[in-house]
Amino acid sequence: MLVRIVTRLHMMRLDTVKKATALVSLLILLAACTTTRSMQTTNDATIEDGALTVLLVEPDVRLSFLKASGIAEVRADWTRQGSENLLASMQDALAASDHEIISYSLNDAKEREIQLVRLHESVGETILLHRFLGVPLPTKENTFDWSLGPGVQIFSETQEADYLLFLFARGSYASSGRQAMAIGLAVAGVGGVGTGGQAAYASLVDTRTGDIVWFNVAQTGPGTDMRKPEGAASLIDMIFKEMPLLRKEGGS
Amino acid sequence: MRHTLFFRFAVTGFATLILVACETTNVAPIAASERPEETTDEAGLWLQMDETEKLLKSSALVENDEALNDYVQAVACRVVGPDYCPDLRVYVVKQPFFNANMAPNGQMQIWTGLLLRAENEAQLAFVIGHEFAHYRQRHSLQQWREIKNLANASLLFSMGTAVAGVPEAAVLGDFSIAARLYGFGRDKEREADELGFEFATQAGYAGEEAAAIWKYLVSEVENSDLERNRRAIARASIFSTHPVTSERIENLEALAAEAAQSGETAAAAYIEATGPFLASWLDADLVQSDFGKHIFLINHLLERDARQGVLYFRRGEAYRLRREEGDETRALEDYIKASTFEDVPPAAWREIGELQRRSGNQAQALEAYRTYLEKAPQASDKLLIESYVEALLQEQS
Amino acid sequence: MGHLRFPVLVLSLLMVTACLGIEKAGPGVFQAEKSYQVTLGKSWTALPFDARTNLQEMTIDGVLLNVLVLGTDISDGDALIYSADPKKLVPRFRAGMTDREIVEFLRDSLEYNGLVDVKISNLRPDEFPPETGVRFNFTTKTQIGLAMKGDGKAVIFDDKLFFLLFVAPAEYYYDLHADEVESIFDSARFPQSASG
Repeated sequence: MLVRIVTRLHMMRLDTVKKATALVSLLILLAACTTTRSMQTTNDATIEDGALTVLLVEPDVRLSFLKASGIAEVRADWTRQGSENLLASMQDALAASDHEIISYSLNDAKEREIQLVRLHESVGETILLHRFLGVPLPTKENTFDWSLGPGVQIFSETQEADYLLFLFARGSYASSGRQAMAIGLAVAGVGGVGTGGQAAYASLVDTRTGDIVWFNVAQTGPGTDMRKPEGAASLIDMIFKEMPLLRKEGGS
Repeated sequence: MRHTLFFRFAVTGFATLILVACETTNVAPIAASERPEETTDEAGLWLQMDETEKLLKSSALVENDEALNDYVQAVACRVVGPDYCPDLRVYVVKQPFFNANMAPNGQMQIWTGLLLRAENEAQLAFVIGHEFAHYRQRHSLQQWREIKNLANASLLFSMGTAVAGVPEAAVLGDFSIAARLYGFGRDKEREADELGFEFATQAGYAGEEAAAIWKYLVSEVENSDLERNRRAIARASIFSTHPVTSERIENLEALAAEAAQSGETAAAAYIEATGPFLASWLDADLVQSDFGKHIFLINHLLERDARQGVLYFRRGEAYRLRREEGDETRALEDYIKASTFEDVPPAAWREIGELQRRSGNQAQALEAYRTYLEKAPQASDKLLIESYVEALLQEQS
Repeated sequence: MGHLRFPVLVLSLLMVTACLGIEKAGPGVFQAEKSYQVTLGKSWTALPFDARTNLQEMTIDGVLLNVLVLGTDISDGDALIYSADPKKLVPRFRAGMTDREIVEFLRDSLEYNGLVDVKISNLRPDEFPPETGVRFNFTTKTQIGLAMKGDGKAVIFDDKLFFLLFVAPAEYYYDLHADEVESIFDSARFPQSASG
């Protein structure tokens, strides 16, 4: 920074935290507030029979190393590994019901798509806030009808698909020093020193209506690790629980 | 109270226990087209900045004007040379504050509030040179390691951020918050000043411009409406993360005296490139509502800039909004003065109309409103102004 | 209009403290604090009235997706941006502002609060019984780049400023309740008793 002539502490939002990041962090901190139930649309949304195509829209994944001091350091290699593991786990889960998942990269030149992704961020934050963090929204008490609107059909122009899937995941993994300290501080009666964990939210959007047909949040403690295939699979299992595209064994 | 003391004791005790080997902050300058290894802390910094950059690109804050971007990027390439040029991506960011910053991955931001205040290309070149020096010397990485080392020695960092309510920093980590808490230290800023000076002068820019931009900034803040800001300048603490301003100015002046060879300011090229944005940048600055600073800036621009119609109009706007004793008269004088120049914005006529109407000069008000509607037939407030005209006509009849 | 930045901290505090004040409003007449009334055609979620800024926020789908701001009883020198520091340099309402200046003040407040490129269009006189006020449309973007659309209406009554602002993402949400918002704007009036 060349100058801090700025006369107040003023931050560009882009430089600071993304709100969803902070909300998910908050979820980890306030584990007690979260429900274990996923959200399903109350709109009319039939799931077609047969094989379906799901577009995975640029998942937002970041894994970091939680140092003894409490500072988390983002690790590029872990992030890549974790993203790959998550994708593989999601592919496995959907393939079991004969569905296909396709990774979709955004292109800045396609402005409408970018707008829809931005809108999804706002919708996702709204759902986190009112459905998982417990802030009341009386107008939506008995309905779950959030939508991105039929504008989402535009995605099919590039890639035919039945659903869009959005995934946001964060993981932090403690150094042994930090784990020792957390235990030590707990002994000393001081709580609140995290030892890391994993959290994610995912949502499924119908490409015909734009309706959020399903939305879920999951978090796992320090025991699981998406840097490894099993850890990613257990997080995906948890988050995909009640995902409407997954057909129960013996079902159609 | 007892709890607090015990807490402190516990924290300090454990912090001492976990005081582990410090990471080296002594890093070699980055070479042209060099990229960090994926397993390093540096790669993590890059990854985050790549993501931020992606967000920035599709954000509403980036000025997309092609000509302006080409111009700023060209100045950057001239300063850093052809080898490093492809490593730098310069973004003009629509923020009305004097600021520029450099991310470790080669993303440089120049804020419009800085472009508004720089007087010529040489001053912009020094800013770019300074920021590029942060990049080349890997100051972000050094900074990050210093923070980590410091934090290892003091658990209070994480406690502090947790208490301050930045869960991200405490739980999931965000480098940028830490960087903002600490800034680049005084030594790094001095190094960046010296290297930036070298880069810009070697590219042929006039050395004395490096100190000039700082001197101007000090005088602008001295005219702030906020007493706190003026006092801060006197104590020099407003620049607390940087070398004390006076020291910095002295240092840059000494460098210019030593350099001796003359360079160019390229003022005409700068004014041509930034001219189309003058009105909107001043508009954004006025939203910040520091009339003293704002009017000082316009007066400064009036001395050297040919865009007098725009500038008198903007000063009139500042007086109109400030509403101090005599400001109405000052505003009217400025609007009228503005209307004598070719580049006067049509809105000057509308404001003349408003002020004349307020003073009861109905005929002049009517004429000014009509001129406005003639010159700006597509104006967003056309219907409103037409209703004023109608009301005036009714009053007359 | 704090929602426009929507700081997470505020959110978490909101969770703990203010949940109680969040209530359903409408359909029917809604009386803004110390102020005019509007007729709601649908149910809205009313956030607690913010007595520091005299703003009442209401939403249907969540404040990021649609928000109606009722500004009431704004006096000379008041700002719409809350600050603990009364001397903070922010856009302030000044008595004697013209209709155009009021719209400019609202625009400046939105921009100060972080919205980018607020573009006002279609300013026009509009009835705000018993007075005549001003009506306008606007477009803007959030910093992160989400395109938004909005409407505004304002009037000076007893030297105080009263206004309505509606803003929603241009994609899908703005149109979703456009008719409802239009009729709410049209319904705004001061109760007879207040007009003497």
